[in-house]
Amino acid sequence: MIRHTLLVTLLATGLAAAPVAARAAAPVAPAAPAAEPAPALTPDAAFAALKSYTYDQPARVLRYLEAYIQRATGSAEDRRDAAGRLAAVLRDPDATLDAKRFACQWLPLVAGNEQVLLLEQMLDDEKTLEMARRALQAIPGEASLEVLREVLGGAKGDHLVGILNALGAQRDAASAGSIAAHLESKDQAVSAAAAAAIGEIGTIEAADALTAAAKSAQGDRAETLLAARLRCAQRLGETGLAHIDAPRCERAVAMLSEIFSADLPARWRIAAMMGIVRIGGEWGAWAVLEALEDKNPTVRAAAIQATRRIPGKAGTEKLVGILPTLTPRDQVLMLGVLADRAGAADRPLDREYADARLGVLKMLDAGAAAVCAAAVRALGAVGSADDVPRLVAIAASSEKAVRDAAREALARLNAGGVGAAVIAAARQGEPATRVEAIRALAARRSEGAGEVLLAAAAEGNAPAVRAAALAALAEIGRPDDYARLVGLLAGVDDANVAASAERAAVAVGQRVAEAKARVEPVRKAMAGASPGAAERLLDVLAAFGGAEALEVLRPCLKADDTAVRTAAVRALSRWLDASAADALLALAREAGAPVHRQLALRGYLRLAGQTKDASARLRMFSAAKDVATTADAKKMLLAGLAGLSGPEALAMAQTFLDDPEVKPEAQAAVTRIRAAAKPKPQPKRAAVPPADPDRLAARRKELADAAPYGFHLVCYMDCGPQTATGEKGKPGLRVTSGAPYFWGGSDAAADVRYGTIVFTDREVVFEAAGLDPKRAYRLGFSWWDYDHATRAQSVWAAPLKEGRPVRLMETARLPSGAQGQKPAEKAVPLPHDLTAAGSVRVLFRNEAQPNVVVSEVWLWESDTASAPADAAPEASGEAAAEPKVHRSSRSGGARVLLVTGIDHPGHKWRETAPVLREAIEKDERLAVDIVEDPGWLETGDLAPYKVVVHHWMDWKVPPPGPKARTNLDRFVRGGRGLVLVHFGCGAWQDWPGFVQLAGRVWDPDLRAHDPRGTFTVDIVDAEHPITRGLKAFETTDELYTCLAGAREIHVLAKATSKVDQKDYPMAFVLTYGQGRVFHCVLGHDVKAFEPEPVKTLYRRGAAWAAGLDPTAKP
Amino acid sequence: MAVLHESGDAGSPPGDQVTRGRGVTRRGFLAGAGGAVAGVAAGAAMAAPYIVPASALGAGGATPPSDRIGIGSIGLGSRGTQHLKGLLQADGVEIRAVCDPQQPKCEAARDRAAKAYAGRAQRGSFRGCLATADFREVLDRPDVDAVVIAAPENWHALVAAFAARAGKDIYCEKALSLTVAEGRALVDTVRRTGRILQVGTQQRSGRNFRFACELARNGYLGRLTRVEVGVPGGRALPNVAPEPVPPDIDYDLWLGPAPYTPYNPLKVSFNWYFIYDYCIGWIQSWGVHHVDIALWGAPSLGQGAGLQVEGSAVFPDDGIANTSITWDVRCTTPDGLVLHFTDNRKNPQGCRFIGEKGWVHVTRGGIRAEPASLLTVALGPGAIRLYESNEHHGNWIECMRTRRDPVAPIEAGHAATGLTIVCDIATRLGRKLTWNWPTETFENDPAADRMLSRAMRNPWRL
Repeated sequence: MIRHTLLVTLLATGLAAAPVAARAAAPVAPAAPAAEPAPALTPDAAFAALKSYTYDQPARVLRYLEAYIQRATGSAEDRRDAAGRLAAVLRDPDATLDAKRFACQWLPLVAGNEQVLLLEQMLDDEKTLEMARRALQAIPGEASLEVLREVLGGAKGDHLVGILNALGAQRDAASAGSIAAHLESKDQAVSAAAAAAIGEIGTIEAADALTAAAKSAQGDRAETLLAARLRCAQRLGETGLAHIDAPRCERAVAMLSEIFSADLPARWRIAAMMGIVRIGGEWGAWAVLEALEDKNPTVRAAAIQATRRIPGKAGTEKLVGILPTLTPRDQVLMLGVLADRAGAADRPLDREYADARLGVLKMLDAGAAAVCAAAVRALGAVGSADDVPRLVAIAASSEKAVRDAAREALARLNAGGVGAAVIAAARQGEPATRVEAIRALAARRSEGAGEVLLAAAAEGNAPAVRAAALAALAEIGRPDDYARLVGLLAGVDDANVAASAERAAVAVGQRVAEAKARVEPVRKAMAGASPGAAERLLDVLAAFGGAEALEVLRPCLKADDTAVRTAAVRALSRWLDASAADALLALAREAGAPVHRQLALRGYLRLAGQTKDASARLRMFSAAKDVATTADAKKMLLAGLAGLSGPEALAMAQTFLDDPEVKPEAQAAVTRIRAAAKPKPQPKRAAVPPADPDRLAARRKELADAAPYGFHLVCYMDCGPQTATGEKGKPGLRVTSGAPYFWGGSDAAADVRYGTIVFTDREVVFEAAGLDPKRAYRLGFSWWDYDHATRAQSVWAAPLKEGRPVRLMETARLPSGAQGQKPAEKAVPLPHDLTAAGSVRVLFRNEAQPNVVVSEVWLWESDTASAPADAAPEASGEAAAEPKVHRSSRSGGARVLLVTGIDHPGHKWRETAPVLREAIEKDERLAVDIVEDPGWLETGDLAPYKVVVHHWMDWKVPPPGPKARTNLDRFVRGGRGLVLVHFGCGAWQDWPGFVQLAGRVWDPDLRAHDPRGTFTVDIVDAEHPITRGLKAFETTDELYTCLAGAREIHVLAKATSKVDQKDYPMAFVLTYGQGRVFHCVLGHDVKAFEPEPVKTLYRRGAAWAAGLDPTAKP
Repeated sequence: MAVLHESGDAGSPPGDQVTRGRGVTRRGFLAGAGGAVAGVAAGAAMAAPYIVPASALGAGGATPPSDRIGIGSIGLGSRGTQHLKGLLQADGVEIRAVCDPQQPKCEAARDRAAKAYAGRAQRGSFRGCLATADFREVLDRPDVDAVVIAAPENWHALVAAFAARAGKDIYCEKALSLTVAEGRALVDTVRRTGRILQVGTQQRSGRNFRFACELARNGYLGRLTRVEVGVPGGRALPNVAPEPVPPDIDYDLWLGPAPYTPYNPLKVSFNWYFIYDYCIGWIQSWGVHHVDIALWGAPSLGQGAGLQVEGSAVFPDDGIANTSITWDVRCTTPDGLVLHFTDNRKNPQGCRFIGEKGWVHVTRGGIRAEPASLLTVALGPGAIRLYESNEHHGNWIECMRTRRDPVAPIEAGHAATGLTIVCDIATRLGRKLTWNWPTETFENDPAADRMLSRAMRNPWRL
């Protein structure tokens, strides 16, 4: 009904033709384009038209007048003029009430005393009384106040409340006496309004009146008066402070003290205390100290926070003095306040904080870990250089909360001599304390730490110290340290240390400005370096890139030692910049070993792909065409070509069309090159863009690839450009109700196919025909609320002729483009009993406003005549059978539960799950059970399991219920393990706590991943039990770039995106409660599990999560 | 019959369903409310239940039922529903009342709560969720310790002030208030009552936003010369004829303190953003997010006298919307620091701090800087460090327990809201204005000062 009426309104204003009634083009499209353009308004015409305005008329006149009146405020003359014109409307007995209401609302902007008299007259008329009262309230100055005071005496009921509110809002001290007379009114609305107004006025007289009234007040009236007294005291205190008027301040404190000391609920007493603190001085300190000893913990907590407002040394002394007497909880809070006070002070080392420091030091031994952590944190603000050894020792030996506090304190400690003290602690002592001191040097960005760090990095007998020193050098090492670091790298024998040293050398080397100065130390070190050392030095060169570095590498390509030669080729293939291109191409042609040729070609194609200049890139690809003979190489070449445009790139891609090894890739490249050549659509084009065959083909391929397991795409319609699709006799779709439309400009926010739509106000209907009665079908569609945030729709299916529709999807809100959300894609099974008839109607119903819109529809058909098992239960509505657990063939050992069963259609879990099981069971201590339904987490018994392997994602189906979350949460929190696989990071999108458990989760707003392809996974921590001894490896997978989350994780492996050259974590660990979590985003498909290191990562990750030593030989 | 409309309105007040009293307080409602809350009335004297802050004491695990903070959710449109969803999942709190004058929204929220707490209800620790059109009924509940306010802007300051006086802690959606004057009054009320109020400028709980501001505050950009803010522009709306009020909407409570205009279905959902009676448009309601960040990173924009404000905007010339669609405003401090605030067709979305040595640009999508090495800066000892919160609801909940000020305190919300309003006024009046922060008035322009407050419809007052 409502919708219908709205539509009529829209039709009347000529807007219903567009589904987007509310969208305005900039600067301003008239909201209601009339058949003939309306004549431009003039002030005379607009004010004349206003007199007969009623709310059912277009608002054009009002919009004009608002702007006119606002602009008129600029000069006295214009104000007089505008006020006079508005007054004329108000005076006119024939003017409508709606017009007068508008005039009253805007009059105060320009009104003078003349209009006040007019408003006074309007108070006599019931119809205009309230609008006039509001206008008077909004006009500042004595004239309107006089009117309000005058009418106060005779006003009654609602009108009286309005007058009281107006006088209170104006804080009219002159009317305090007459308002006070209403404090005792029997009408509760009146007495409450009087109390609020008089509190707002806040004079001594007001205070007297409220105090007197409060004496006899009971119940609700007493509460109203309490609020008014607080308000009055605040006003008194403010004016007292502003005018340095002690009596007013004292009176305010007296009012507040009375409330503070009374037997009242905590909230009133907190309010009174805060009031006194805000007035300040000795009064404030007194109130806080009283409240600190209060029985009520909420009052105490508020008092502790209020100590922030007691300034100066005396305040600090009081806080420190009281610290030992507080409960542990209050000590934690108070130490936090102390830290904040000192942190905000300009000179933290004055006497004030020297005493505070002693007080804080006493709390370090207080017992409770929480108090200790708080004290350590506070020490970071008040401490001195003398505290460095203690903090370092605490950091080295305490549990996590205290250790983290100590590390933070060491990073923040800001007093004379602290830097030297940290360096001293890094130089000598136990390895554990030295490691902490070294960490602190890095965290503090200490200057002058190079010497001590380089010395520590060279120590042979303290591996932890060495590693920490190298990590610190990587962070803060200076150019001066570089040459010695390179020398150190050349001499290292331990592989783990070497990796750290290499990272440090690269990081510090990048801070050296001159290329020559970067390369020279490496050249020197190369002379006489062992093959292992040479390999590391060459890697450093590769990270720098450039011609100078290349000259140092070149001789190694011809070295006698095969290992050195291979290392040189490998380094060259990873070269940072294009300076290595020629050398790589030459090697790809001529190198003796096939593996060298292959490495070189890959390196070359990678560099070509990274080249920004399009013509240079094309030249590079052309040069490599004859060398790219393997399928992999050809695919890389085509992937690079696909980013180009122009006839040459097209011609080159077309030469691969007949190559059976890479035909699909060649086709995709050709499509993309062609598409890039087309001009971009003009923004704000209102006509529906025509169907673009290339775009449709590309989209069809995308949907074909995304088909659910056991299904394939049979037809696709881009609604708007197309209204029918499919061949005769085969499955097809056509629009039977709905009109095409295009949201101009929407293609700036998302692909144009989402902005082209069909719409109606009630129901968009499609007919699906030509269906195979034996097969199952899934309906896919996309929708988007581009210009609103209001649309909601449901989806139904019905027989073609007669019969009731059945609901396929509950009412769902569409993602709102207006709020920056992206379009959504959905899929639902079509009921088999309907599709068996060969055709079916699909209905999209409007469940909200303003109309119903559909961007795309498509059909997936089952591969086999019998419907696949996973489609059946949804379609037929049968209850799903209890999910079966496929038990491991291994008895004994730690049991691991691999949970899978749903995922993005691109992830073939039926294929990957067994591979994963096999990889994990390589560790004979582990036995993997598989359950093919995440819902099992809700009902199943997790008790026998040590680890859950989370290999699923709830793509377009609801995730298991809250019970499953609780079970999983408790399982891990209680000390068991969790392994997350690939798109497992995308599960539970509506569970905010999942990110705490998983460490990082899929953020759909981020770029998802690099195009699937080959990339190198680097080991970040070669000392962690999971990655110990592992080397960088290549894999063919999706390089995920979509992880988000803020909690601390420990990254084990990373990879560098080819798209943005940034590093992304590939595997990491974290702890959750008592449990361990190993999270790895590798494993898109079976091929991605092929590299041995991937299997190793999952095997060891599972063992580690189970609490076992992953590298121990079983 | 209550007279909540202007007297003598021909436009028919909501009818016989009005049974509430004429006054603005609702004390005593519970006396007739039956058994639903009788069992907890004994706890009425306590404000927010205080327990040892779990995070501060290093404890883990779920909060016991007796220590849960009871929450009333007021305003259940799309933003209010998002809060509801988040808080239904959060530990340590419980939704005990939901409120919206649109009955279907209210009932859907109550059902959502009942579903989420089905387990608690079975164990007897959850006693149901009140659904009401009138926020005063929520405030009357002794088992409600705090409220989330996600009503349109015309309601914000009023509901928040009522809540503060009723002893409730508050999460108030941005923008904090519709006018500068009521924002100031709300600051006074919240501070006077000692309540915790978190403003819904949740970008403050984002690491990137904090980091960008720390770069600006600690001189990594050199002397700051300019801050650029861009946010989505506003919209026009069609003319819409009045309609009878549907029976499931309490239109009088929907309007609240706003002037009476008749009901139409378009404005009661989302589109109110663009109608001046209810909100100042996206220059205010979106603008406040990034203007808040600008003030966090460049506090001098929000201090002292002599801030020159000048700008222009495009307004709809027909239809029911009357807030700016595009705008371009420049605020200049006496020291020459400029805030350039536009819709995102001019400045790109987000907040960009520009100094003599570099710039940093932060949005919800990410952070960029020139030189890029700024993004790897680690703050050393002695650096100014801003309040660290990584979860906006969580910070609010923790602060209710510790009574510490949250990351988006009311003064910050008031300053950011105030500045967007001042910018809007400059575009409406079409002349250069000078803003004085200490007095919160314009310098030498009493006519412009009249834009800073509005009179509320009877019987509402702050």
